[in-house]
Amino acid sequence: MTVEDVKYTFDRLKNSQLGSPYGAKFLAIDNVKVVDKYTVQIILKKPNTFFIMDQAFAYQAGMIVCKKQGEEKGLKNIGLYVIGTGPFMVENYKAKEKITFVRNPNYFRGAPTIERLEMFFMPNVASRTMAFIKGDLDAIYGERDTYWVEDVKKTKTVIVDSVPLGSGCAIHFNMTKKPLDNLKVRKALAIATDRKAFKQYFGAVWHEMTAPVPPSYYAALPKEKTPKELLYEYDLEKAKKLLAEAGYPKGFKLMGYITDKPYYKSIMEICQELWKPLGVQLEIKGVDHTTFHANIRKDMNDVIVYYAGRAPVADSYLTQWYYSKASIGKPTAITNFSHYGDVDADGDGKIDSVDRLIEAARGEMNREKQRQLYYEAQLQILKHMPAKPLHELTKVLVRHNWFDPGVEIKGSMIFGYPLEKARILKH
Amino acid sequence: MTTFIIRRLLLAIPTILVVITVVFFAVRGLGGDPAMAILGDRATPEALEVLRERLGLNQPLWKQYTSFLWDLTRGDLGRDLRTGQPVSELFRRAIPYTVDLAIWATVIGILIGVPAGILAALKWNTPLDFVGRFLGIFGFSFPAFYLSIILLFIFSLVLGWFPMIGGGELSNWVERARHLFLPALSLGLIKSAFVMRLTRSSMLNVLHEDYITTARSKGLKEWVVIYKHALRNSLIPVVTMISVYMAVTIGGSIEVEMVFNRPGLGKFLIGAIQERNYPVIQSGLVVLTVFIMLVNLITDLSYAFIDPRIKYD
Repeated sequence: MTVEDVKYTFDRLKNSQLGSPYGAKFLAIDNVKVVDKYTVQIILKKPNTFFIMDQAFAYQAGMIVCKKQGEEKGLKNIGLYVIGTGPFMVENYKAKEKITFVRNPNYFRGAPTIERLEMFFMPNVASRTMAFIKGDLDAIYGERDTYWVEDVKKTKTVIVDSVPLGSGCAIHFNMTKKPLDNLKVRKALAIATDRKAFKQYFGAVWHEMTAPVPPSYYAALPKEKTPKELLYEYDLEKAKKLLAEAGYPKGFKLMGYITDKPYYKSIMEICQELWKPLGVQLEIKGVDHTTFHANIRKDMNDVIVYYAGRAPVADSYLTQWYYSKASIGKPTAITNFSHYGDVDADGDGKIDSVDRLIEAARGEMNREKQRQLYYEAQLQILKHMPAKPLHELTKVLVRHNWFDPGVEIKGSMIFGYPLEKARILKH
Repeated sequence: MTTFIIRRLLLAIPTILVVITVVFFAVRGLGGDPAMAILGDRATPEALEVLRERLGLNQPLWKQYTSFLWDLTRGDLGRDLRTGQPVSELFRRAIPYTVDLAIWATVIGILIGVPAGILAALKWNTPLDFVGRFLGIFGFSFPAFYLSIILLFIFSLVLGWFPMIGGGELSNWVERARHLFLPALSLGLIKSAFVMRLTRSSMLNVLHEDYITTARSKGLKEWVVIYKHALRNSLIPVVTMISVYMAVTIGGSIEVEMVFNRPGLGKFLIGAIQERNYPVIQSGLVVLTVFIMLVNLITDLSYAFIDPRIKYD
């Protein structure tokens, strides 16, 4: 790989006609210059301290592609004919069955220990789990389910790694729909949503999230820096009082589409139960995952449950969920389901937004000042309650004790074990 | 016979056309967006639009429909929206796994169900008959995927006799059989419950016929009466329903393939439906329809073998 490949990759990603799902990230690039054979200069339109982490390299975009391949053969279906520089090479791909890799003997950090590895596509949880317990599989992606984890742990050779980077979960209130445009209504629902109920359900993989940004992310607002009233701790009587003040003493009806994935559906079902004492009837419409994503992007829901793991910096979360340009319905829409930044959130007649704070923080070079700006944005968001943060669910990776990843797993941005230094011990 | 076969094949064309049309519009009525399924939840509307344009998804429906029909007439099943691979290439590898499963599940169903049905009929209204009928209802109601998990647990996990993952290499007959046994047994046991009930019912009708009484009074051995006279005359409805039930077997094979991780057509279809991968869904259902129609044709032809009075012209 040389600078020509890097320049080719980013020039390509900048082109909005490419249709990259992460293309918006690369619009921040003004120019890509080759300095010498191994040095490239990426000039941004504005200062952005997170460009390297979030936008440039290796998390959901930014993998360098081969210029020669692109120019000679085009990069259509690149997934099947990938040329790369990683520790493993694709030997074989059998659709819906498995993909086989062999080690790259020329890997620049030294050839991996594992010679050959197979990754199976096994969507059925029962058979995947049994194959793992039997020992046909050395490691699998686990289930974010405390009962599943307890069951699997009964096998003596099993090691469970429950690690961040987790997926943050919040329940978002669509502020374009009545009565969720009323701050007191949203606060009432937030206070009636008891985080302990989710803790009981998810068990060991659950971690409290009190800020709009998950706690394992850089510049997440710490709980100890959050005023008590903005923690929205459970208080049913207070919630009822707020709802009555808002003019809804007997409650109202809400609707939400939800996917059939258990860790999504359970959230809605728990909220449905928790809101009943307020007289709030939450109608849940279960659909498959693809339809769920399509429907919530058509603004069909009153309330939206959403999980996401992103680059572990406050900027990625705040930009995608609370930045006005990310509002659903806009050409630049991402996942701002609450429409925060586009509506009057507190009833004072003015549009409330954290756009300026996010932009200022993004370009701030002083780390401490940057943190403070992100904290300020999060405090404002909590005051306006466009979404109640619930929890972060860590990844659940399980392996047998003969599978040694070769590194201590404190956290991972990939959905699996790092394999570069992994080895299989005698067993 | 040849004229009959040609006529049936020609009649299949409008049937397939109806299936194609229904499937084409039904999958687009599912909701969801293939472009989003491919690009993921972070895709901007602009990126989604670019992909829709590239995949032809924003063309008028009539144009997409006629284009699909035209491609089908040339044997082009389209391309996987996600990977760009020709669907025909994907199916070439997947179909044998599904056909294996459907055929062997049917064989197991017949090998267990027919003798069990005969026995139940012969022991009519005895405890053995009641047990048989109970097992028939129970088996018929038992979900195939759940039985698959139970068999996997006992014979793969606990006993370690059979593999858990995949379908084996097609060229290696031993591996292919080892990977096939449990899934085929799972579907076959459920099918045998159905076959058993039908065989019993059909046999009971025949056993009370006058010619059976005549055969016995002529002093023929009982096994000759049962197998040469009674069974043969009771087989036509059984064969008919086994063929009709083939569609159910195919449906069951889809869930069984998911549990056993067999790379068959069923697993492709499930994934394709989740991804809204229209070409795979459309072509997959057409292929399954053709398969079922061929089975029905073979069934009709078998009647002439079972009952010599039946002739085709």
